[in-house]
Amino acid sequence: MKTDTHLNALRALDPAPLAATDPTARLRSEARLQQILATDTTSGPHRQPRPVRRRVLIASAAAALLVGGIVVADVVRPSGPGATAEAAEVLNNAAAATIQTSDPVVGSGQYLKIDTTAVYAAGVLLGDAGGDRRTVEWLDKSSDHLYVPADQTAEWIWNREARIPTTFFSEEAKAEATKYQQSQAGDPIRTGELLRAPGGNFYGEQARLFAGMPLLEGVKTLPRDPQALLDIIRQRGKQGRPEAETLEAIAEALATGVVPADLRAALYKAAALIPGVTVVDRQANLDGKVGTAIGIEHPDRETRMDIIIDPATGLLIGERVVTLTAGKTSFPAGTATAWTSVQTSVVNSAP
Amino acid sequence: MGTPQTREKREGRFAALYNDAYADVLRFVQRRAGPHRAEDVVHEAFLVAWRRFDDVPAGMDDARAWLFGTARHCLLNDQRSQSRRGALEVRIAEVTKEITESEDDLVAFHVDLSRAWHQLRPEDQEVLSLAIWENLPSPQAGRVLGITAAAYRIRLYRARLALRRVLKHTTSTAFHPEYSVTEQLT
Repeated sequence: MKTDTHLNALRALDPAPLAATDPTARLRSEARLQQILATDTTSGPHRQPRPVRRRVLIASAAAALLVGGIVVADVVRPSGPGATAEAAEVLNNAAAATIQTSDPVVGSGQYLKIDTTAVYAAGVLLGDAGGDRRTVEWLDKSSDHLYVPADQTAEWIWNREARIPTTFFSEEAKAEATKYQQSQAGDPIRTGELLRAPGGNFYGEQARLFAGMPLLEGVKTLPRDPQALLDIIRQRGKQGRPEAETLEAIAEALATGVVPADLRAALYKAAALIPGVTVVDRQANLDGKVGTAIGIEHPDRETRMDIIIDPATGLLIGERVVTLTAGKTSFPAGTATAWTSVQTSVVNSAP
Repeated sequence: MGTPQTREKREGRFAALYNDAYADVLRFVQRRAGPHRAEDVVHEAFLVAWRRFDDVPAGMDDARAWLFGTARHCLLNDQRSQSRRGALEVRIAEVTKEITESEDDLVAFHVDLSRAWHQLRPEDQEVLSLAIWENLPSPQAGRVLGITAAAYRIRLYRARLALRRVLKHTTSTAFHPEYSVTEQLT
């Protein structure tokens, strides 16, 4: 850029010139890096302390009643390039039931209230950088309450309760979890907080349906044609990512709790087009609710991403990530290291 | 959850980004928040980056812009409790004798510039800072503010006009450099 004299002169007035960097900052930054690496996270983009990424929709009882006598008319392909025939049938049936349901109506001044119970893996990193390091992990549970206004661009309110360590597979994990919980007593990410943000853009981040797709824009503009929708979801992800992450993006979108029925149906049908998606359990129990789990294994993470659907109504019960290999993490094989389940209702006021 | 192997790889990539970008992000925040709170904000920004590592762009320049944008959001969130403004004030160096050991004119001009800077709107300070001190090309600078490169260039053009206008009214010295606003911006 060709500059002018004013700008050149301004250059000299940098309030944070390179030479002024505090030499001890380097040491502190290294310590803080270790703190960050020790915080819980998973590879999945929706495992974050943000509201809309971990919502799972369970439609209201009224909506559930409406689907009572619906005859499923969707054509199920016996075989094809996508999910197994069995999984495709479950998903396409769910889509057919979904488009027959009515979303709960949120009147002016009312809120769609989404009560979430969620479980996440958490852990600490022990040992020195460059030396023998290992992680000690456990599961945290939290519940929180999101209030979405009728006009979704208006202010959302999110009442996050504390994240509490609840499930341990060793005494050491229990001890470390207790220690960690105490050390984080001042961190609202763990202790909970009441947040407000227009459009659900909490923490100054744009609410999203899935990676690369802003929530409000996606709800409005995403195609309802399953193949076109799937193409967009794939395009917005990193090139060459495993198909498990495509299903993960779909689960993330469904889990926002604010996706209208026509888009939910299209997301189910798009999932039916993903090669490798199978029925993994006809009696999957998530937070006390039983449904059919549809899943796909992630080749790198050695996990399986599942979405769980009530086969009778087509309603989404929840989502979960199951660790598959014993000894690869501190969790036994078959542990659901992350799951969410949600109850929605319409309320007249918010905190 | 990742396996230990994928976790290790992820940690390695994150540590590389952290070590490369830390000083730049710290300076970005120091310009906007002052030193007392800067390290906490940088920590917050990198924590977001760690949690959303899949969203952080791969290239270093883009990743840096992403981190700046995230740090800016953290700062704006802090500020929101006090005001609803969508822009951040940017500080300017205090003009002291150390800055220039040459002509008095230049010292006086720095004083004028510093005075003019404080009269600029935060929106103008931000775009000027991104061009001058963060030294970002328009696409990355736009990304920090959540606007397009073209919109950023327009704002930069206006900010420079504003600076010139303010200087005209505040300049107390004979030091009037020739000023052009028509040059090509990248």
